[in-house]
Amino acid sequence: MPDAFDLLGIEPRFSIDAADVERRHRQLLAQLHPDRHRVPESVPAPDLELAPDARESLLTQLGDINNAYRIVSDPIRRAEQLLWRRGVVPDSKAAPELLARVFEQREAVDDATHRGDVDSLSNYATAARKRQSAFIEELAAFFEIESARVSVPQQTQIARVLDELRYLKKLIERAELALDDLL
Amino acid sequence: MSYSDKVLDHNQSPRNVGSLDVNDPNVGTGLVGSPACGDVMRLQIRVNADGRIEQARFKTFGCGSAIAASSLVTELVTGKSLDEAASVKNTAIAQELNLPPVKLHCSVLAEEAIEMAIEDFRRKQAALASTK
Repeated sequence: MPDAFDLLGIEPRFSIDAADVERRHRQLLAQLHPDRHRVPESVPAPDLELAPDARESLLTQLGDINNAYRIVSDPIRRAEQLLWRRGVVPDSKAAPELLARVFEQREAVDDATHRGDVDSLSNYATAARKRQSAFIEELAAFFEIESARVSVPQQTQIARVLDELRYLKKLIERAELALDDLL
Repeated sequence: MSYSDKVLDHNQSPRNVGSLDVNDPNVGTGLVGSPACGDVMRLQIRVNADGRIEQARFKTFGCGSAIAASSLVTELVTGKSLDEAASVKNTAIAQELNLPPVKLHCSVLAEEAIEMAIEDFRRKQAALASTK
């Protein structure tokens, strides 16, 4: 089964050229657009429409392409997809230390939200974005160096980084949502 | 997707939100989470001299179903013995809240949380007994 990289016809790498991926996505959508798949112009208007099953198949393909684009554009899902290509499905069981830290951070964001404390919220969001960038760089470095084999300690480390990123994403979302409401 | 009435009710008026002192030897704390959804759930129990849960508190950062599942668990375990509380199953939570399949993991999380809280309490008690 083709994965997200195959569907978009791009090289399976972590470091992607976002503009290039977007261009590729648009090209594919244009190729698949139902208007391009109508029967010849000479046919009267009501018959221009695609047969239901052909339409169905086109819509499925469009959905697959859009989904592939979302996967490749998101660093967490892109990393998961690359690992999957190597036959690695990291076990997602967050470390207690991470959970404790996340709990504290979410509590702090919540408290700041209730206080209407814009400064703290901005600081939390900025700090979280910085950590997010650092983890994404770590992922990039890993996928740059690594060949097809992923050792068990490496898997553990990558799983940890992915968990950090998942929680950071949520933390940033919450902080930014609160800031939007307050500002 | 819409939440069931029971999930909505637990979100509008969550039961037993709050904290107990983690350092209290009679308090057990369970902290669990599901990174994929960005959820973290803390469930705490205070156990009395008869070995019954006299107080349960939760604090959950997550979706409505996760909040409802943890809120419901605090209700279910209050007044119960530890063994009774440990037998609260995720399937019962899911059923009570009418959780759809995509939200079943929230009830699993709540079950893990109560198990961990009981374990934490027992570990503390064992440590206490060994120092006596």
